[in-house]
Parts: sequence; structure tokens; C-alpha cells
Amino acid sequence: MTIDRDLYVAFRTVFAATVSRTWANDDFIPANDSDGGDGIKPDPPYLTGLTVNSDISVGIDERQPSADISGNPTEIQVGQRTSLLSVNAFGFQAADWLAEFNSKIQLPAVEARMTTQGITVRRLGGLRNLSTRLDTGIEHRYQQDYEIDYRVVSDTETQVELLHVQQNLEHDPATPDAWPYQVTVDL
Amino acid sequence: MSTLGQEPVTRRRYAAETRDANGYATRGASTDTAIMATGPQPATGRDLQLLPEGERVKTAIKLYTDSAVLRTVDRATKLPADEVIVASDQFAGTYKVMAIQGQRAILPHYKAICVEVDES
Repeated sequence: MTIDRDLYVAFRTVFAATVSRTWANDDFIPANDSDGGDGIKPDPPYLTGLTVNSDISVGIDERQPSADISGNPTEIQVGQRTSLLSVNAFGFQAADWLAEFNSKIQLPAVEARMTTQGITVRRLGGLRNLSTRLDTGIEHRYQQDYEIDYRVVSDTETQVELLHVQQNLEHDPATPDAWPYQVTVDL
Repeated sequence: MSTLGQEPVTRRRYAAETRDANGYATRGASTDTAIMATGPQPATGRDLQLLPEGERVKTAIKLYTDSAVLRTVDRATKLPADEVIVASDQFAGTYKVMAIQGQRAILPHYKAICVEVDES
């Protein structure tokens, strides 16, 4: 599994659950996968999805130490990422699927599905009509881009344990002018 | 009456692709069969013009058969193209059938244009 594939699958899952229809497996397919075969295209209407770019940092990643510092303290790197997923719709009806999804994208149920998949989906621009004349007819094709935000968490790494330093300021009544420091280092 | 210079060639035929719930394709099972065809010959420039643009820069061969024993990709039935395996000589490798021309005059035969399969 690659991040490109994970993002496509997460988006497809949210999309398919949101648009009101019964989906066949080849109604929404990855644009760049054929398992070494011919990648035979389905009959329209159908959608293709392609993660155009990914792993774009949003802000600066942070190091998060584990709460437990006494036993085996660990540390992870956590960051926010965004990506661009392009969906192409072949056929008029497939364009309607995109429009329906766009009209529901902020509804609570859709946001809940995004949360389950670990993504946030935002529209980027509008629905573009890329229909064109081919040698044997006209291809009805539409495109919509989506920005998909997601979170990345690194593998856990053992954290170097901090030294336990205790510093006491003592006062002896016998020598009232002296305020010696007592420093203890717990290894 | 058959075409001269025929020899056994391995044809690899795949069952139809299937797609899982995420739309990913799984290639169908393959079956190898020995067919009779002329030894592979280099495709000419005119042969290459039959191919889609991205396929013209690959190694291409042509084979002649007496009957329609090879097939190209068929979108209607979702059946993938046959592959031809050339065991030895300078054309050794696996080739996908990209175009077939049937000739009916005098000596009926079929010409198959095949391009080398990418290692992927």
C-alpha cells in the first residue's frame, strides 16, 4: 500500500457512501492501475481517481514525547499533510455524481465518514467540462479536483531518558549567612 | 494448404479482468497453449502505424497464422489481449497482440502485430 493508493481508497469510500446510488466495482476505478493487464475501460458512465500529489506539509511537524517518562519513554513525529486528488467523470451521468457529492460535502454525515477514513476533503475549483471530439465521436468528460488533508504519525522511537536533577537550597541556623545548594542527580 | 515456415509458438490467454470493491483490477488466470504461426519477423514501419502512439517505440514483431487463434483486447467482452511468448532467437521475449489483420485473398491468413510487454 502506498499513500497515493490509501488516499484514493479513503476518498472513494467516502464518495461512494455519499452519492445515492448502488455502485458497481468498475463505476469508480483508479486511473493508473491495471494489475499488469490491459486496464480495460468500463462503459460510461464511470469515474477515475488519481492522486496527483501528496505528502505536502502543512505547518511544521512536531515531536511528541510519551506521557510516561519513568519507564520506557518514547517519542513520535506527528504532522499534517495535504494532497491533490483528481477525479475524472466520463459520461453525463458521472458528472451528476460529482455534482451531488459536491452538494453534500459539508453535511455532518459526510464529515463523519471523512473522520472515519482519517481525511478531510475540500473542493478545489469547480467542475470542468473537458469534453472533446474524438475521431469516432464526442467524449463527454468532466473533471473535479479535491484537496485531501490527512495526518501522518511516525514509528515510535525510544526516547533518551532525562536525568532527574533535584536542587535544594538549605538554611542552617548555626550559620545564618550561608545558603548552600544541595544538588542531587538521580541516574 | 497452410502458410509456409510455421512453427509452434506459445500463446498466453487471460480470462477477463475483475475489479474489487475499491475498483482495483485483478488479472484473470492465464492459460498457455501451443499454436502454429510463422516465426517472428520484425514489424515494418507501416505495421507500426497501426499501433497507438505510445506503443510505436517498443520492440514489435509480426506473426502470420492460418486461423484466428490470436485476439486483441476486446472492450465489449472485457477480455484482455493475448500474449505470445517467443522462446529463443533474437526476438526472445513476451509480446502482446496489438492488432490483427485478416487477409481473405487466395491464401487466407491473419497477420498479428505484437509489441514487447514491459517488465512491470
